[in-house]
Formats: sequence, structure tokens, C-alpha cells
Amino acid sequence: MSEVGRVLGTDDARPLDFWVAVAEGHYLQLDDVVLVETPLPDGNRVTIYGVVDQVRARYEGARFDSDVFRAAAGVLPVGIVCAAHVAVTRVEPEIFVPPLPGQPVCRAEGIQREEALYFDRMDHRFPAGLGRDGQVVWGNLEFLDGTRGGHINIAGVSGVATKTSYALFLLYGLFHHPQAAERTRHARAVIFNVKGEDLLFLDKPNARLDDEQRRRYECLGLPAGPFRDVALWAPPVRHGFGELVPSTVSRQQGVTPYAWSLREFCQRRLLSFLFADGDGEHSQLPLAIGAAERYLQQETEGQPASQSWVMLGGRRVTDFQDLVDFLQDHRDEVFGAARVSTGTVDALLRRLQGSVDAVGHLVRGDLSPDQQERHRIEVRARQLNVIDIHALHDRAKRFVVGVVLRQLLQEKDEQGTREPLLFVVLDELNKYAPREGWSPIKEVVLDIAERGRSLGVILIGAQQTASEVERRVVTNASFRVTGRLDTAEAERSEYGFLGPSGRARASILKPGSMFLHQPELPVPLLVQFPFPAWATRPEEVATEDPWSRVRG
Amino acid sequence: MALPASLRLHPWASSYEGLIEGAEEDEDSQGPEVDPSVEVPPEGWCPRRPEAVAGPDAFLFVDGVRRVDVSVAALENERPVWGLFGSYGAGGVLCRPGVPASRMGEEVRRSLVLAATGYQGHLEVPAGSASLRYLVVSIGDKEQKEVRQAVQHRMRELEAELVAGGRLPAGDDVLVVVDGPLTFLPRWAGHSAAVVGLVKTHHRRYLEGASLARCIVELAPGERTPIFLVLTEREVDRRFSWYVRVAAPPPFHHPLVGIVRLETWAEGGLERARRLADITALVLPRFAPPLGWDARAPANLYPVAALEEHLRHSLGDHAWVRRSIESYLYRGGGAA
Repeated sequence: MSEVGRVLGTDDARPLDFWVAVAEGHYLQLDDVVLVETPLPDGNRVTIYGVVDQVRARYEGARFDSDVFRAAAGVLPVGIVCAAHVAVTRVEPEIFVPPLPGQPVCRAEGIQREEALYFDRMDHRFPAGLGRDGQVVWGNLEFLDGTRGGHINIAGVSGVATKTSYALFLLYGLFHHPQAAERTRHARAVIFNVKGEDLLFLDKPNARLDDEQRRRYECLGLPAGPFRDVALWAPPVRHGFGELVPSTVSRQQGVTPYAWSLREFCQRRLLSFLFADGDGEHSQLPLAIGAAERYLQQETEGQPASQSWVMLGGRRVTDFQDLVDFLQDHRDEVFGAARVSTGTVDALLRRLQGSVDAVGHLVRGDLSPDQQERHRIEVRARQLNVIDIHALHDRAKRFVVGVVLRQLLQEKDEQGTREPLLFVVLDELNKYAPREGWSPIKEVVLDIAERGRSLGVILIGAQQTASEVERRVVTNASFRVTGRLDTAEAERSEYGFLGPSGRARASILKPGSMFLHQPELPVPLLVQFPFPAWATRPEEVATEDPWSRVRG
Repeated sequence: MALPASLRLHPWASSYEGLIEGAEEDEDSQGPEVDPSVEVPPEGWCPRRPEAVAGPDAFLFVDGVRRVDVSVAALENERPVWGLFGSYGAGGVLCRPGVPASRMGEEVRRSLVLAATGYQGHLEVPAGSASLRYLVVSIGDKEQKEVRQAVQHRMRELEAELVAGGRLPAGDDVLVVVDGPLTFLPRWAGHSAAVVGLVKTHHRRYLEGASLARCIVELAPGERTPIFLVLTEREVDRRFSWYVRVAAPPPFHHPLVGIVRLETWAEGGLERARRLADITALVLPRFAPPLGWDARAPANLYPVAALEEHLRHSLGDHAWVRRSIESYLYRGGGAA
């Protein structure tokens, strides 16, 4: 044990926080892990572990601020003293007494560090990043896989908070670390690609990965490479003929276009997901949507699964435009029973008409039985499924997210077992599960947040501002993560777990650094994660040496 | 030998506790005889502004503090015996240009002074995490005031030990400035280093005569009076002395504010004294704090004020020490 200072007695020492005077020739910095033993009158000793969350230095013997100049001029003798504030993480045995002033404080290393941060109690764990000391910070897998808790929520400013990168890093650790992989071998993950075509190269090694970053992967016990088992899904090109072609620009190879048949659209009542912008201005709109969905489902009941088009009222409907036209032409028949006002029906039809462009290529009647099979999003085949929605119209984005999430939840519901786990990475939670209003997607996301734990659907949700996301979605997350936060946002009660110094630091966090809060630890830990070992854009894809195979 | 069995606290003297009248107790108040003509004739007295002189590399300020922890009294043969628990300490501050000033050689000692004979040894007074060790000193049948002075004397002796003891830097490149007159210092202390005593108070009038006294108040910062010789009974005790202004007083202050008197042994010779006088006149103003920095500013120089504060702190919390002695005596103390 290396002694770095002693508990000081000029500030109160309390069972949950105390100050340490740092000894000359030593230093303590933020995030250092320390321990102190304090004696009890009965001769027993209590070990108190903690993390440094504040450090200060000051002159002793100076009376005025200007004394600094006198000290510099060499006429006033002063002493310099450094002190560190420690937030207590653990007390063993659990006797909550303050550490007595004067007790030596040591840096916690090796097994002591594990104890201080509860890592010793984690039977199953996953790497959550590297601490500032360059050592692994573990997350308790039992709080993620549903055994004792589930879900991760990541907040942070777009662009600098690296939310998606961290979510991917977590997935990478969960799938590739020997300790975690044992439990997640059959797990699956779904991630929506919402920005550029960044996530289309996850299965390619990153050419920009340097040795320093490789060393960090090594520290984490992870191979420095791409994701091993990836499926890429993208919307098809509009107005294509015959075979569906993915609409992605930078990569076509290995990307599967996805689409739904009209019959599926009607049978699985997907219409409501076209109205997923949480719009409450027409209170009767859901009624009308319900009526249309019901009508379409009933009408297409029993139609052969091999055909992707539908017969409605004796008319063959082969694309989405047809479907909308049909509803327009048969409005009395469709909405008559629901007793909704003409205005509401008009609004619904107007919106549907407006959706034709957005989703016309996603909901189709021209798929062959074989195509239906191939272009249906199926996440069970591969470990990591990237679903590209970045180029879609906003309404189509919501449609795809909503439909996929509901489909996944239904599948897990039917399956009835938690294992294998399904991780769902969903950015922009404030859009899909806003604090105010209702939408079908919000319902699905809430369902995942509340029941997902027992169903084995784990939500890794992210948003710029947790304060704008439905409270239940955020509070159900066992792991809370923040990257760089806006100063005003950091003051909100949603980030209470950061503590005062954490809030202040959250506004200056660098990309690649996050605050991680997990259930067992009362204080947030600063974690850093390495540069992606997988390519995140075409330029980063490591080109394969054409001769390597010949030589090999 | 054990303490007097009747040793008790002496509460009515408590208003004096913690206080010992300042440096004036080092000097008797009778005006000494001086010879003002050693450097210039008395009629030629006027402020002197020295030219730049090659000064020493470092200034070493030596000072001490003392405190009455508790006054006590005993009854011996139907007569009161006065005494006190006193703590005192001394140390130095080394100031070099361009280097942070540093404290050194600090030491704290404690004594139980008794105006009686035959008591000696040590007392260990438990005080929380520490044990306070008081040296028992018997000074014979004396007045209360003399008991207090005994602590003062012991402090000056500790200062002298510091200067003469070789634990502090010495040599030609160090000028030692001792707080208070040089009365207590053994003269050989001046052999290893240049030593001056700095007296902040003006209880004694050294210079009689209008022209001489006016010369003092007319001093500007950086100026000094001519050197005068303080005559004593014994030739070896003679000292050269001069006044220096370390800071200009504000208009509402007495013109003597900011004036200090310095002295050094005469046996070092006038030339050496003149050099020291010039150096002190030039350099000491640099160490003078502005008004408001300290209650005794500007004459209480920065290093001295800081050192005293630190030393006083080292004596221990007064209330706590006092309570420890009280419970020590209550439990029977040395008599137990």
C-alpha cells in the first residue's frame, strides 16, 4: 500500500465523504481510488474506500490574496498544502463511522481497487472502459442482462459526446470479451444507423488504429478488430425494377435491402406507425387510424402468404399508392363504423397521401415469395444488425424504427425466454419517447423499458438531453452514462447521480470520455474508451493486402 | 522532586494569561548613556541615504513567541508561591532574492516556572493525541512579574541558541536580524555571522537633544540616522545603534510609526557597523507590510509576522492546552 496522505481534521470527516491532506512528494488527482482504515474502540478496523472527486491547493500562512506576490518575492514565508476530497464508495464492514483525522490514506491498487469499486463482487462482468489510471472499469453484467437490472441510458451533446461510439464499444465488449461473451454468446443486437453511412463498415478493420489504441484494447482484454458477425440492412432504391438494390452509396456489397409486403402491412396493422410523430392535435386521429387498420386487417384475412399484394374490396392493390387511393375511394366503408368526423378522416388521408413518397418503396406489393423472405428484417441470423435509416424521410424513419421494435418485442414475447438477449441501440430517444405526448413508438419504447428486462430486450438508449425523454424510460436504465453535457442541461435533476463536481466536469468532457454510473457504485466513474477498431467511414476501411492470401 | 502539593490554578491572574508585555521587558527603562559622535558630530546629524552597497545574499530573521498557558500558585510555609505554565518557541526565516522564503529551525519548549527553590524535573501533561512536556524551573522566591519575565528570558535564550548554535545558515553572506535587542545573545554569536538586533518599540529615549530627535522623525524610507554608541558599564556590552525608517507613516499616524532601531556589537568595529547600517536602511523597507496587513504593520516585517504566527500555532491551541493542564492538576498532577 502506498501512503499518499492523511485524513485532515480541519474539515469535517464524514462516513460518506472526507478530505485528505496530501503528503509532500505525493499527489492525488481526480478519479484516483483510495482507501483508509480507521480503528474502532473495540480494536476492530473499518476500511473505507473512495474516489477522489475534488482536489485543492492553497497557501498556508497567507492572509490576503495579494500575499502570493510577497511569497513570490521571497519576503513572506508560506507553506503549500494540497488536499483531496474523497467520495466514499464502500465501507467494510458496514459500520458507518467517519475516518478519524490523522489516519493514513493509501492509493487503492490491485485487489483493493477491485474492492473499492465493487468489481470483486461482480460474478459476471463486462468491460465498460478504461479508468483514468489505465485500468479496466467493469460493469456488472447482472445489472444489464435482466438478472437484477437492465438497460443503459447515454446522454450527451451531439458530435462531441460520442454516444453511438460508446454504445458500439459496449456492444463490442459484450460480444468479444471472454468474460462477457460467455453469457452473451447467442445474444443479438440491433442498431439503427441514423447519421451518414457511419455504421456500414463495422465489420471492417479500422486502418487508422495505431499501436497506442491497440495497447488500450489489450488492456481491456479485447481483440483490436472489427465486429465479427454483422448483418447490414438498408432501404431499397426507389423506383427500381426487379431485384431490390440497397440505396446505400458508399457500400453495396453485403448490404441487404429491407421492405415489407402490403399484405404484412395490413395484417400486422402497421399503419399506425406512419403517424408516429406524437401529434396530439387531432384527438380523434387514433380512432380513425384504428378503424383503417382494423378494416385492412379484416379485408386481407386469409389471403395467401406467398403474395405480397392484397385484394381489397375485389380490387387488386399492388403498391402503397394504390392502397392509399383505395382508402380514399372507400372512406365511407372504412371509417363509417368509427363515427369520426369528416375532418379527421381528411386529415388521415392527407397524411397518408403525404407518406406515399416516404414509404412507398418500403411497403410493396411486388415482392416474390422468395424476396419477401430475403428482405424481411431478421435479426436472429447475425450477432449485430445495422439497420440503415439515415436517408429516409423522417416519417419513414419513425415507421421503420417503430415497426422493427414492435416486431422484435413480439418475437421475444412469443419466445418467452430471456435468453438469448437482444440489445437494441436507439439514439434520439427524445424523438421516439418524448416526455410529452403519445405515439405508438413511445408505447413500444416504454414497453421495452418496463418489460424488456424480463423479456431479455435490453435498450441501450441515447439522447442529447435526458430531460426531454419520458422519465420512465430513463429511470428504468440501470446504467446511466453521460458524455459532454450542455452546462444548463447538466444542472437538471436527471443528472443528480453526477454530483456537483461531476456536473461541472461533464461540460468539459472530451470525446472518448464518459461518466458511468452503475447501481452498486454510489459515485459515477470516469471511463475512457479506445478509438474504434472497426471502420466508421469508407476512408477508414483497412485495405487488404492483395498478396496476403497468395502468400498465406 | 514532586510539585508543591498545594499547586492550584490562579484564576484571577487569568487576564494576563497569554500575554507577556513585549520586548520592553528586555530593557530597563532608564535612559542609557550614548555617544552620538561616533560617525558624525552631533551638530552634523541629519538623515543619511546610503548609496547602493554590496549586500549579503540572504537575510535570516530570527524571532520567538511565548505564552502563559496557565498561571498557578501554591502555598508554602504560609506564603504564596507564584508560578506559571508557559510555552515558548523560536525559529528563523531565510529570505533570498528570487527564492521562496522558508522557515527553519523552529522549536517549541514548555516550562513550569515556580518562584520557589528545589523543584526540578519534567511534567508530562496529557493533551489529546500528544503529551506536553514541561520542564520544571525553580527561580527562587520572586515576584509574579519576574515569573513572567522568566519565560521571556527563556525564549530569548532559545533565540540565542538558534543564532549561535550553528543550526541556521551563517557566514558573511547572511545577515541575521534578531527580533529585539541583542542583550541575550552571547557575543561570539556575532563572530560567525553579521548579526543585528531589531527593536520595534521606542520605550527608551536614546537620543536627547532637539536636533538628534528631529533627525529620527525626518527619516524617509531607505534612510538612516548616523550611528551612535550605546555606552554600558562593561566595555564588551557596548553596541552601535541607528534608526531606520522602513515605511512612511500615513498622515494620521505618529511620525515614529515605521521607525525601527537597530543595533550591533561595538566590538565588530565602526566600519562593519556602518556597512550593516547601510544595508539595513536599504533593504529592510522591502520587508515592511502595508498598513492593514497586520496590526503591528509596518514595523512587524513580513517574515517576522509570518514566523510568529506559525510559532504561535505550534504552541498548540491555548484553550485546549489550558484545559489539559486544568484536568492534569485536577487529577492530582505530579502529586499523584
